[in-house]
Amino acid sequence: MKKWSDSMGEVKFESRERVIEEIMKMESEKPSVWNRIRSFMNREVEIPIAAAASVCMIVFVLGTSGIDINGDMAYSYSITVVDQGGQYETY
Amino acid sequence: MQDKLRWMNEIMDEHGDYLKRTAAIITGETSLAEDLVQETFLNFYRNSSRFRREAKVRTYLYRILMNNIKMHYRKNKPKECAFELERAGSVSFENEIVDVMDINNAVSKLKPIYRQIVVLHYFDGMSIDEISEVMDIGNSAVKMRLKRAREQLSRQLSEGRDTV
Repeated sequence: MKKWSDSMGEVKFESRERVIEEIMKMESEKPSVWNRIRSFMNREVEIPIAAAASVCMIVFVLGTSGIDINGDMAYSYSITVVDQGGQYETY
Repeated sequence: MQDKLRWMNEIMDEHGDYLKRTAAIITGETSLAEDLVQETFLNFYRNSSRFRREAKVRTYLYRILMNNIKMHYRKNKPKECAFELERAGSVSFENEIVDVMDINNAVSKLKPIYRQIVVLHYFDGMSIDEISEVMDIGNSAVKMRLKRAREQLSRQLSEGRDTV
């Protein structure tokens, strides 16, 4: 006596070419290593980079404003006064 | 790339036809079965890096196919249509001789969760353990579903006989 599975006749999977086409399309659309790194950086490292950039900016501003870490003036200013006789004095 | 394509071609050669047969008998539609199996192979390829080599390709493919069928039924209401057979006649089912049309009709009236299990067990000849792995449910759940499916099937088959 036949089994249930024998009753079905021939059934063929016919979309093999379509699967291969889709796979090739998938592979061609895969991002390059550099793009993967960039997208990873955008996604995962955006916030730490922004935070680090902010800290650098603050340090830079403090550095250029002439205030050192102790809050003292880092730069000294001097004025040189030259008199008519060519004598000069620096304060 | 060429190696991967060759590998996929071999896998489709070996497993394509019987997966389509199973999908067709569950869904009742050959064109839908073709689409589901196509999607199964693409999912398999996408996840091939996660596929453990020691695992059986057959079981893994069945598992993807069953998931695809489940997803399909979530979006679309299951149809009560039996697969159109090329060969009619009688077959042995549960130690009984049954008309193929009757059994296909009865199976098509089952709920999808029962239909899948009945097809895997009686049509594909899978053991309870295999079905448990493929459907990702426990052995006792498989046995329970199979029991309920059998009860519904025998009811429908006997109703069919009474109306003749």
